[in-house]
Amino acid sequence: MKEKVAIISVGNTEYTSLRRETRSKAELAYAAIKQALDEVRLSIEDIEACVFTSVDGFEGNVRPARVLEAFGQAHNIPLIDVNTGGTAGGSGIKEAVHLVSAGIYRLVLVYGSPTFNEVVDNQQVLNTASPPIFEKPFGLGAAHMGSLYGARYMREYHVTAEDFAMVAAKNHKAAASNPYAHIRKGYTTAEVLSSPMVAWPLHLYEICPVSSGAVAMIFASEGAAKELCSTPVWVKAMNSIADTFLSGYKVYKDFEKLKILSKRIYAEVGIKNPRGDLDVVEIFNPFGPFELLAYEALGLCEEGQAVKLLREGATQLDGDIPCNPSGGVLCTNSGISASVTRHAEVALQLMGKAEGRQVKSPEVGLAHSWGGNDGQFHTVAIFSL
Amino acid sequence: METTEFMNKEYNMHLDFSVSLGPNYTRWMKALKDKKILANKCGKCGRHFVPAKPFCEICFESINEWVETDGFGIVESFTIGYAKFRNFPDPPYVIGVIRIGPSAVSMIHWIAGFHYDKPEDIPDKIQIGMKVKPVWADQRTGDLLDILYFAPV
Repeated sequence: MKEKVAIISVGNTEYTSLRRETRSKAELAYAAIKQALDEVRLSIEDIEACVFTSVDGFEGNVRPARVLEAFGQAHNIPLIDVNTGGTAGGSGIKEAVHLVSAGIYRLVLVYGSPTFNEVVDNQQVLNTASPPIFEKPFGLGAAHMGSLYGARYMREYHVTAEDFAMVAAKNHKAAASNPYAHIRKGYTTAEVLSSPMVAWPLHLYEICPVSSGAVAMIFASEGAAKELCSTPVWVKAMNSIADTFLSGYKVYKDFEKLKILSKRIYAEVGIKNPRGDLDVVEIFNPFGPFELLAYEALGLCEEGQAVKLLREGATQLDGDIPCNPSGGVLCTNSGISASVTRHAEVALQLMGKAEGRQVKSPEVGLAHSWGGNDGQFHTVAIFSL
Repeated sequence: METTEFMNKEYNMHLDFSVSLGPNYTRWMKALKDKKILANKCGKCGRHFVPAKPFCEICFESINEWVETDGFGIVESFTIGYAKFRNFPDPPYVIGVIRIGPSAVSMIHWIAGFHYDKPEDIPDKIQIGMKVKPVWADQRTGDLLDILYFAPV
């Protein structure tokens, strides 16, 4: 990257279910952005550009960015709209990072919208993202797509239903301590296994909820960051990768594209031993098994060794490579907000502000996002103190 | 304690679309009417594709060679829908990632036509790597649903 870029602030709202939501889309945006601004004593007119991220067509509006007034329009701030499906949070952050790194703007706001906000029947809306001619007729919803990875991974490495339930339970336990998580019930492995089967091999508690809530982050140039923030979190590297659209075209035994992307990023920042060099990781895990596939693709363990890593306790809050101390997307999925949150969570961890879920003194963290039709895109970011 | 009633207002969007399939998808779809599953083949890298592709995304060349497959497929992955969602099939139903004949890629279709006593027995009836064959509809229109489902061989 050309110029240094830092995260200086995070604004979060509380998360709830769509049915319990009483805040409007406008109030959610205002609350998250206002909190991010207040944190570093900025006004909306200090922001030089805003990156909005959501999925077009999912919020009861084909261009949700245009319906709100929370992005500094009143102060003539440019509004940039980024959409790569579920990955849009990562993709939007990447754009913000590039804009600051290129020296174009000093302060850029990223807003992660609650993508499913205003949807009555979420599965119907998600299904509009399916390939319409070749795959939509078959009842391939989001959970079914997620299951295809789990089913193949189980077969490749003789993984059991209990292994999958364990990784889900790890997230549920973590979310119970996270004031910004939606499902905070702390479900155990046994409770996960006895929850209803939705899309084999996934039980209900191995599938993310549909949440409502929003998140905002502020990215700053080196000069602005040092002036405004006592604990800036530096962006060491950030990139993305793309894959094909059709679910049928993918091979489900691993996250092949994430493997390529993480290798590329590690080479850029000189990470040789990810398990040793990283202190905290936030993985985009809307379905339990995704976390295991990501352990391997991110090089935290060898191929087929993810269950061993999990069972050793290495990826728990007090382990040597804590993964999803927030409880991950599995316990809070407000759509694109959830992919921005992976980055916000790592930033809060490095700032020492991860209330109830703080990892001990982390210095380097990784944030991942996944999305588009059945994993069409991945993004990876490395942040450090 | 005073409680506040929050209001919701409802609206919806009814939108219709029509997709032009282009020559390769059209040829592939039309063949289904004659109970034929075609593959097209990239002249440069030699990979076959079912469903047919308009161009090879690796070589970035148009694809003009065609072969007829025997229709048999291999299950690469699958899932079983056990929950009912509006406008989705009634559970249980099995969605397979099925690779046909020499194809380098797979397609999505249902797996059915096998016996089971209880819905929870289905995971034991389907295996990744299992061979399946198409079961055709009597009335065919040149559509993916001309294949009713793929059945274990």
